[in-house]
This record gives sequence, structure tokens and C-alpha cells, in this order.
Amino acid sequence: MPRQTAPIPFGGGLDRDSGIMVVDKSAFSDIRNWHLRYGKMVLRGGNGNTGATFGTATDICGIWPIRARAKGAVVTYDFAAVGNGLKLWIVNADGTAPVDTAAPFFFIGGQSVPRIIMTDVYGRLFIAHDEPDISKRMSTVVYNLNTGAFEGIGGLDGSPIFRGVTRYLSYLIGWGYGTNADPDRPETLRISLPGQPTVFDPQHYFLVGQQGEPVLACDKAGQVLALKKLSETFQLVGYDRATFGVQPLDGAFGQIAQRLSVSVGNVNYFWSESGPRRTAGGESEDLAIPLNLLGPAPDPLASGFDTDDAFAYYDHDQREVVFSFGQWQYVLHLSDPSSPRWGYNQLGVKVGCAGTFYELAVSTLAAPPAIATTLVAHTASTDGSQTWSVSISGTPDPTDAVEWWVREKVGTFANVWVKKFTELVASRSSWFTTISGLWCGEPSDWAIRPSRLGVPGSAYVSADPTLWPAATRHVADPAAFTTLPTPINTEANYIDNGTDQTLEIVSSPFTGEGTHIRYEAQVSDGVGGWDPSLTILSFDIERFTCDVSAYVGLTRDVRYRRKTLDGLVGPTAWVTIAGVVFTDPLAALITAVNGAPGDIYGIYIAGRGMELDAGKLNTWHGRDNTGMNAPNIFAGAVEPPYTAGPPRISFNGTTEELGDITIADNPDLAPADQGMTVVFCIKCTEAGAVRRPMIEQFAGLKPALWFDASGDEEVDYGDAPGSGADRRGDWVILGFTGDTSTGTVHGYDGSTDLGADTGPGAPIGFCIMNLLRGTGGAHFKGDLYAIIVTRSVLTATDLGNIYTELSAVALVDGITVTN
Amino acid sequence: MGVVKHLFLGRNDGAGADLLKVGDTFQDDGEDYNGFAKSDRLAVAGVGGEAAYYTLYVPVTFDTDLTPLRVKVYLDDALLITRDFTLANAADPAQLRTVLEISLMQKFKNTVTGYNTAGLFAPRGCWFQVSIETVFLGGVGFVQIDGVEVEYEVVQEGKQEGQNNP
Repeated sequence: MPRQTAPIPFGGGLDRDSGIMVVDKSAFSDIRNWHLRYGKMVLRGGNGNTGATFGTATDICGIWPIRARAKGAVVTYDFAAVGNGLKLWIVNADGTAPVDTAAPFFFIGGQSVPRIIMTDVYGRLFIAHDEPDISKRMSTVVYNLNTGAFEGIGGLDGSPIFRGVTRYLSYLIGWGYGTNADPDRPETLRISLPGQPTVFDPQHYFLVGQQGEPVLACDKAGQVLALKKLSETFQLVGYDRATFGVQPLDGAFGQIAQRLSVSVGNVNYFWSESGPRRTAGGESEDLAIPLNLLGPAPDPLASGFDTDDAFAYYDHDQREVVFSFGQWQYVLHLSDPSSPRWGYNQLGVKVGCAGTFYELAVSTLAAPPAIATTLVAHTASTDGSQTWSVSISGTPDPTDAVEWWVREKVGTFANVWVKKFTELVASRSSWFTTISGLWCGEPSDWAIRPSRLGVPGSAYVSADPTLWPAATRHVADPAAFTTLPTPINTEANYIDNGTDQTLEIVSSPFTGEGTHIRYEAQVSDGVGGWDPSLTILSFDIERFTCDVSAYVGLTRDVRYRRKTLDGLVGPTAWVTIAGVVFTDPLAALITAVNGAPGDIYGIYIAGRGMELDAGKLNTWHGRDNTGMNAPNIFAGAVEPPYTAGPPRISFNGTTEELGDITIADNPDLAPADQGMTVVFCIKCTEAGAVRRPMIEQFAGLKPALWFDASGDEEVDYGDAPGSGADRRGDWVILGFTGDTSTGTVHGYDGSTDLGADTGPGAPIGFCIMNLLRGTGGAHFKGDLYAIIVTRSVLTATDLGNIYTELSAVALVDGITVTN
Repeated sequence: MGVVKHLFLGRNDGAGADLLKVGDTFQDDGEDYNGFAKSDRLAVAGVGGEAAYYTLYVPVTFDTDLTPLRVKVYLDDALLITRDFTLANAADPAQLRTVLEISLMQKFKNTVTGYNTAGLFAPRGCWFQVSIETVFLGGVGFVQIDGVEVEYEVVQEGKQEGQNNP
């Protein structure tokens, strides 16, 4: 049988009851100080001392939250005190800064630590002493949380001496006290007047079960109050005096100690004579089986404790019900309520009570600002922005701010007031603020108001800015427009793809919202007028294309203008482009290349994609800067989406490069005429005196065509750098040829032959070339517009023709070649 | 934002009225404590079956130093292997996860090759058991045991398969 693995999921909890032959493999025989999760467990955190000091007290015997005030009540005991052993302290919700209520209870020291049961009802804290012997029991204490004074309980013939108290509905419930004349009635349950927890009607009481058998705990369970005795449980049903009644709930199980129970939601968990159980208002359910409480004690700590001092609590964060017996705790993990699991906690010190304090998310409302705002005037720009003049009257607080509200006429929030942004006043009395990203050419309403930490000024509280002071808003102000920018920097590109003849017009960019921008274009009729508007084929904010198939071969003026979709603004003035030639220069370029003896391998022009033999160039494998075979020649560089300026691919000078062109990667690059030619249109933007090779022989061997330290492009024959013009920042067309039969290479600056070199000695072989890649880690930094690759060695005449036609194509795209 | 709440325990042994915030540190009012977990007994080959155990894997997630985390292996309640692991992550507040790996292979001497190794053999009726405990040597942070997995091979199936046979 092959090897296998057996998972032992942690977090399964204790199972000390099942025999080892049937126990679940995820169960544990012992588990201490872990929080159980699904299949895993987390080491519990420690119980750290808050550092709060409680005078000379020796023990803490009661903890109770005061949720309404985000405080906590702590009752301490001083063993050595005479007559004033107990004290009540009010602490912060984080357990710090205890404040002595300065009214010690009468309780003689030198006795075992008293067990305290507390509850708070209607702003009063009730403290009962859980002592079976009523002659030693302390009278029930009432502390008024509002006045800080101790109060008495009225309505009865004396001060009640309850053994325990709890709140239920709008009542205070006290048990274990009869009357002043017959106080020792442990089966008695008394109920206060509704909403008056310190006032009891002497006749409003119940006798629970057998006389003399004490009620030990009263806990909410389901829709009733479970009244637990040692071996049985009753229930208080009803919701007011007329309907209250006591009935049996569980005749077999009760609770062994006053504080050994806790309610979580509607379920009450308690420790019976048979161990832990739970009830939701019906008969209780056994939870003790996995603990095998009758078996060997898991630890001496588990068997050496007086259960009367034990208590239970619920840990909300860990979802654990904890039954605490001194230093030993039985922990019922409820992270999966349908499958509660047991574990132990073994504490470093003995504890005697628990409580959860709650902090309140108290927000301090800021006072409204005392300043007033005035929206003075505005100026609009052509990029979808407005600049407003603002003035402030009054003295601003450092936290005072101005909220900017706008109601535009278009867009997602059309005709809705929207708070655009908030800016701090910062001690200014007047200033200008520019708001951008607006809908170009559209009207809008504006308003501002002062605020402090989100609280508006008293005159500006309305949600409708039109109700604010008039000086603070501009509504239906015809001047409150952004200006629809008239196109500038226009270029017109005639493109003939063999099927469609289109004119692409590119205009100046702007930054505002422009999806509502539309265009209209016309062509001159040649006799002084204009033909009807052209059909717009596609458009975005800054460019559009139109159908000019009716004008092929002609040279005409073209004019166009912007307008908005909704017609609220514009159109702008006509912009005329004179003498547009409806002949595609790219066709001439292709003709020029084809006219040479070479065999075109491919032409790439940025913004136009792969032209001619697109299939080849699309599979033109390059190498990226890690030497890996990249799926396309551009490796890490990408052609950016159009923003401004001519189309191009930008290289960052560090990680991006054009891939190698190798015959190994591109078998069909094998030379048709003993050589290869590469021509490209490029602009170097390198600022430093760093060599940036443009073309070089594969593997970095010279010769190479590069920009030298002075920005001069040249072919490196191993001689000193040239002294030509600094080409950096200029668009140039450069060429490079290599003859495999002779090993001769030529570099071309435009159409000028820079000279020949025979390379490193051996023939270049297959004209393997390495494009735009530096040696020694240097990479080209700049822009690439076009590449032409042929599988033959072109002549200087060929290079001259290509230079002319490629310059013409580049000019259409807004690139002026300078060499 | 939810309500911020704090659970407190009151020290109650006459040594001082210390109000203790639950989960606040990794000591109980200055006193050390440790986590301990001992799995129940496992018989992968069924009751009476025989198996060999090879490797124990203990994935742990933690965000601080813990020296050491102690793993013990028992056969029929007899402690056979004790391994201490150091979890070191004091400089990194992010939680790390690692898998502690404990070889259960045993070395035997032979007269031909010197030594050879074999899995921990659990003869008929032997029960496999694992315990994990922290040994407090200073403050620790978040430590989570994500489970345990034991690699084994059944040599002979038991006649009666126990429910704790995986």
C-alpha cells in the first residue's frame, strides 16, 4: 500500500468521553490556552494588568459595564479593612482612571472575598451580595449613575437584602429576600415597579418552588426569565404585572452557583450539578459529555476550587462561553454555533469576576464656522476648467474650510447639486481657486459655503444651495461657462487603404470632460465656396475621421469646427486647413522602396501599424532586454494611446528596447540579395553624454551607428567620435546597410552616406543586427516613428528616395525630419 | 466602525486588586502560561493494524518570535520524539506561515552497510499521538497552528477498523 497522509485538524476540541476506538481523529485529549477555529487554533492572548490602582484593595470582586456612559463599574475588596471592605469605582471603558465613589459599603474585612452580583437599570447600578446566610449578607446597594449618589430602595418595609439582582424588561428583579420581619425567604422573587427600579410594591412577588430552597440565578432564556435553583428551573412568563407568572421550566436541572451562567442572545449557558448545559427557554441540553467530568481531572487546578466562587462570562471577540473556576477555565467555543467545542484555559493567576466594557463612538460636534463666503467672479479656460475668485469675511478658524458645490447641465449628475471638493481657508481672506475636469463648453451653477469639520455655517445649512446667501452662489449665470476650445495645432492626414479614402483631422488636446464634443467638416468646392458637410466616420475628443472618397487626387482646403452634442454651446469658429492633398504619401513611400532593388521585409509606421507585409512584421520576433525571444519586436516598449503630438513609440532608456532582428528568429529574413537594410525615423532625447547606439551589429560588435557624446550620429569605425551637429531632440532618418558577401557596412544620415567599414574582420554573415539596444546595459532613450527593413543592400540613391518619401509621410503626422 | 469593547477579569486571590484586560499581552498579570494541545490517539491501520509513520507536517502562522514551539510524538502514550522549533519573526509585523517538518524515520544498525533507516513502526495495536506546546521564554504575539498532517504507510490492515482510521 503506498504512503498516505492523514490530516489531524486542530480546533476540533476536547473529547475525553469517547473511547479511543471511536473517537474522532480531529478531537483532542487535552487542549489548553488555544482559541479553536475551523481546523486550526490560535494561542490565546494574556490577561494584562491595566495598571489601574484601587487604593489598598486586595481583590476585585465585581465588574459591570455602564454602557450608557461608556464607563465601567468595579467593586473591590480590602481584606484588611475594618468596616469598609468594599468600594465601588467608576473606570473608563478601557479600564483606566478609576474614580472612587467615596462611599464605602459596610462590609467587615477579614472574611472571604464577597461574591458580588450587579446590574444597571434606568441609570442606577444595583449591587447585591451573594451570601447564603442572610445575617452576613450586605444590604442591596443602589448607586445613581447620574447624580453619583447612593440611594435607597423604597416601597418595602425595610431595605431589601437581595441575594441577587437582574434587569428584565423594564423591571428590576431581586431574589432571596422576603420582608423586614421575615427576610430569610430565599425562594422569593420580587419585581419592581415598571420603570422605577428603586420602588417595589410589597405585594408584587412570587414564591418560586419549594419554600426555603433558594433561587440561585435568574437569566434571560428565549422569551422567558429562567429562575434557577440548585436542581430545578422555573420560568417567569409574561411581560407585565398583569401577565407575570411563575411556571416550571426544567424539573431535572438547575444551577449550582449564582454566577455560573451567562446568556448569549436567547441562549442561557449554565453549570448544573451534571456540568454545563444550555437552554433557550425550554428544557435544557447537556453540553458536558465531551468533558468527561467524572473522569480523571485534567489538572489539579480543575479540582481544587470552590464552585460557589466560580463564574461564567462570554468573550464576544472569540465567541467563547467561559466557565471560570479560579485559575482553571472550561471554554466552550461557539465559532460554529451548531457544533460547540470545548477547551481549557489555564490562567497564570486566580480570577473571580469578569465584565465587558463598551466604548462609545462619541463625536464632538464642531461649532459652525463664524465666517461668510462670497463667490466673486470667474474666468473660464479652454480646457474644461474655471477659475473663481473667493473672498472671506470674518476671522477663520484653522479648521474652517470652503465647500465647493456645482450643478452641471450634462453628465451623470446633470442638474444635481454635487459637492465638488473642500479646501481649507488657511487664514486667507481672498484667493483664486481653479476647478478642472468640467464639461467643456457647458453652463453650470456654482455655490460655496463655509464649514468646520463638516458642520456648515448657520446661514448655509440647507441642502439646497440656492437657499444660501446670494453672494455665495452663481446660479443661471450666463458667464459661468467653460469655453468650448477652438481647435488649434491642427493636422490633416489623408489615408487611402485601398478601400476607403478618409481624412483624419487631429486637433489640440484639452483636459475637460469632452464626450459631448462633436465635429463638423467641409471641403472647399474649388470655386470659392464649400461643399456640404462631410460624413463623420469616427470621433473622439481630439480627433475625427471623415469620408473624402469624392475628392481623391484633388488638393482642396478643408475646414471644421467643434460643437456640443446638446447644442447648448457653440459651434466654435471654423478652422481652415489649406491645401490638403488627397493623395496618400505612404503609397509613394512604398513605391520608393519597391523601386529599389531590395525586397521589402516590412514597414512599420507608428499610428498606422504594420504597413506592407504586415504578416511578416507582426511575426517579427525580437529579443527583449533579458535576451528572451519576445512575441513582437517592441518587447517592453509600447505605443502609447494618442495624447498629444505625433504618434510614436517611446523608449525609456533603461528597460525598453526594440528587439533584435535575427535570421534565427525570423527564417524568412534570409537575405535575397546578400544583405539587409534598416531605415528608421527616430528622435533621441538622451540628455547626458552617454552613447546610445541606434543600430549595431549583433552581439554589440562594431560597426555601429550611434549618437556620440556630443549628440552627433555616426558610424563607429573605431575612430574618434565625430563633430557633427547635435541631433538630440530632432527627428532624423537614419539608415544602415550590411553586405554579407563582403562584410561591408554603411551608415546613412538621411541620404548622406557616412562611409563604409569592413567590420570586425569577418563578414557580417547574415547581417544580423541589433536595433536600439545599447551595449553594456545602455539603451536608447527617445521616440521611434518608423522602421523600414529590406532583405537587400540598398544604394545611396535608394536611401535618398526613401528619405524623401518617409519625410513626407512623417510630415503628415506632424513630424518634421531635420537631417 | 463597530463598538470598541474590552473584556476584563478581576484578580481575586488577595494578591492585589488587579483589573486584567483579556487578550492584552502574553502573560497573565505577569505570570507565564503556555499553550498545550494533545491530539487524541490515532490508529491509521485500524484497530490492531500495523503502520509505519514517516513524516509529520505542522503548518504554523505567526507574527513574532517564539522560542521554542515544541512538538512531541507518542506511540501508545510513550514519548518517542521531541522537537523544538524556533519561530523568528520579530522584525516583521506581517504574519509569516511556515510548515514545520519532522522526520519520523529511525536509524537501525546493520552489519552489512552500517546503518539504514525506516519509518517509525507502529506494531499491532499501537496508537499514534501528537502534542504541540509553547514554552514561554518571553513575550510572543500571534501564533496559529493550522493543523497537523502525518505521512504513513499501512503495513497490515486491522481486522476491525476504528472510526479514527482516516
